[in-house]
Amino acid sequence: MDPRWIVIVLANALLAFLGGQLNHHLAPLPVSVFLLGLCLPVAGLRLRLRPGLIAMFLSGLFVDAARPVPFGSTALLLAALFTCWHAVRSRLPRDGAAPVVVGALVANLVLFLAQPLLLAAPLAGSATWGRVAVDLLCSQLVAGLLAPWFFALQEQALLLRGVNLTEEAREPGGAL
Amino acid sequence: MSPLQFIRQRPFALLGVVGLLWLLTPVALKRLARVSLFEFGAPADFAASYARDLQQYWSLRTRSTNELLQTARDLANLNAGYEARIQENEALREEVRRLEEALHLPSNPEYRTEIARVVRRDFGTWSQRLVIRKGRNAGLPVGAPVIFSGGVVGRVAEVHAYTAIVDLVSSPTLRIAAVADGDSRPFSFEGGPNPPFTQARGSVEFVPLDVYASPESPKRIVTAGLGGVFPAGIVIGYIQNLELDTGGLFKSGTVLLDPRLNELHEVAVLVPLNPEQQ
Repeated sequence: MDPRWIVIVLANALLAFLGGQLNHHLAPLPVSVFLLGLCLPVAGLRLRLRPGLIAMFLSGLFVDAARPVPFGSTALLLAALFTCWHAVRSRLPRDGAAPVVVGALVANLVLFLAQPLLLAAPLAGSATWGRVAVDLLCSQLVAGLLAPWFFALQEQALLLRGVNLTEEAREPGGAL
Repeated sequence: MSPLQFIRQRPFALLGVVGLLWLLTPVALKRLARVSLFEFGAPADFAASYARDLQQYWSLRTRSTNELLQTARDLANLNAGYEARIQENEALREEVRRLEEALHLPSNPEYRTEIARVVRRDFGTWSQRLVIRKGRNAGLPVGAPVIFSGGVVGRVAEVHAYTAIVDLVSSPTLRIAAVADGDSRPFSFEGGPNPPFTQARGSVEFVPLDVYASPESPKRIVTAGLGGVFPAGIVIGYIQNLELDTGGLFKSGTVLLDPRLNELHEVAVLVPLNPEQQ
């Protein structure tokens, strides 16, 4: 089996767990953070279409399993965003940390704003504007801080499995 | 065109194929995948919950003996009070049973209490849920009411092997028949919306016109016992204000819920002893 998508899915599962723990401790405020956008940058910037699509779809299914949304909706949303990113990435800057952080923030914003479309009617209209604004602000702040670390974690985990994404991306047909 | 070429040249067509395949996947298979993936992630949350308990245990170990003695004395006082209440409850229960028999009334549903630790609080922007550390292993059913010392916590929404998900009373998915303290006319309570940095809240509608409440003199509301989920008399919250609704026949208003709801560590699930009665 291709280690690329397995490592990416496991890393995203770790991210979902850490996000859950962070929200558990933020509950008394009550404020929550949404970090799903961090799942996209490595796949979007470095992976080829097939492993990337598999990784995003499975990560989305894992996230959906614990959320009150139709099962598979986040998976399809992540897969669609990944495909769009993959289609335009040759025209975007890809070296350094800035594209990762900016990509994660944009993906996080899109995914956060898409949530009311996935949720059932009573939930979708239940949040106040103040809560949406505060949660979005906190989410973007935490996502921006975590993005470089999470990107490095995924690359190092892939290196342990003998996959060098940076070198692969420079090969003919690669991402860079 | 080979499949590999198709993938390279038609990424959006491939996405469409994936989407179509997912839509055509049988519901049973999707359900199996959902349950499997949830159970795959559950041990991590479980471990974190046990780690927090261990952390609390070690922090309690640092307390002085005098502090522990003081706590034990307070607990002994509380226990004495509870003993008296238990005896009183037993007498009242016996009287209710006698009256039910004499008047040929259907008996009230009975519950056993299952205490469960909170594994994870998930107070998201849109949904308000708890994951608790008991599930099918403790015989919890979907829809069972969940309470704590401050009143209603919510209702069990999903039951897994060793965990269950509780929809909180502050979630808009939860509607409860409520009555004002000292009144018998029911009205509707619904959770949310929940602004940031304040305690959880809900709203009431179809409140009778002669019920009054204001922030200075809030009105306590309790469960009405209708609908077959929550037993009667459990505290929901306090109505802060009431206004005439558009029809002018009833009032609607805002309810403040218990501030401890956001910091729960332990809850009690009421498992019906005779589910067919409900």
